[in-house]
Amino acid sequence: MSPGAPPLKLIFAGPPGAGKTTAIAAISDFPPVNTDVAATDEIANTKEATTVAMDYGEITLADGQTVFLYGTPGQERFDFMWKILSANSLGLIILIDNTRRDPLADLSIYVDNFRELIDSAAAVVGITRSEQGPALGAYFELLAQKNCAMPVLEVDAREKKDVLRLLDAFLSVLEYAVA
Amino acid sequence: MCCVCWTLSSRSWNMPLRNTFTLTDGQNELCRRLLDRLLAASPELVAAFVATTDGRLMLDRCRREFGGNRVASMASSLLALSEALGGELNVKPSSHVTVSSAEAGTIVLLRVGDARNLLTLTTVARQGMNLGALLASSRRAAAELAGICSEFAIDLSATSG
Repeated sequence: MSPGAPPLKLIFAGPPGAGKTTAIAAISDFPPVNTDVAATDEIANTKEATTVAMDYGEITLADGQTVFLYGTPGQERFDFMWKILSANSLGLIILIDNTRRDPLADLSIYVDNFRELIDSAAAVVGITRSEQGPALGAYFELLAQKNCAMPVLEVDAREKKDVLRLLDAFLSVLEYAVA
Repeated sequence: MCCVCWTLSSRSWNMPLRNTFTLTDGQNELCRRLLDRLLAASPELVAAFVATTDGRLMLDRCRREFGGNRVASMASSLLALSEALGGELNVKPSSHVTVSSAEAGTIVLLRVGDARNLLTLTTVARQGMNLGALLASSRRAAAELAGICSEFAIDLSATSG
């Protein structure tokens, strides 16, 4: 990628509370635009606010390439935003909270819903709060069953270096995909 | 031709953690009567939806079938986006979005009451209804909804457990 190239558009998806807003905030060059409102559903038991439209941030890579960072709302009732935000995107980072009731089912939902984007672009999976819950191998098995190969990394969405590692993995997959 | 206008409000989240928020039976009944009166007063008004700010439908009254759950979520997104846009432009306080189409009619989305309120009101009018009249009646209804919520004292902490 070269300086002056058109910006890349990258989507962060995943269930509510997986760390999408936090991850974008960790790496964005400026405080991200967010659309958080008070949560009134079951999410309110774990956090006060939830994204209802999108998060938006930007990061400029070392080679001058700008990457637009879009975070989707997590709840399935906002799946219309998933489609809107996915348009013209070059790929997807799926964040999964390993402490949720069934994180493998969560991944399955997002892979199914974003399948078109996954198949046509690049995707990676980031597992947050990985100190408990399924091991990484279980995710690879699930992805293999879905005939879907992508990197799966453990990350702390609050840590810039972790999110950048995820971004590096994404860019590597992207380079391979377009090669 | 379509236009979107907005005004903004600041919000804070200094609220206790809680389980799913719902209207009480009493609130639900009063809201239902309010929406019925709203639609009865304006034949061109075809639907009204009360939803939470995070996009969950609480109640709707419609002259024809709409996907109420979908409308509730989309209204939530649109209101939040309008506030984010206003924040970028340093346009301040509060509370409605109007989507106006000469061909199809007008949609008004409002936050109910002040920033601590968790409800939105969406009204839909057929082509021909005066925008000012729609805005005025929607605002009055939103104010009344805020009163209903206030009267029944939505205590967020009391919904926990």
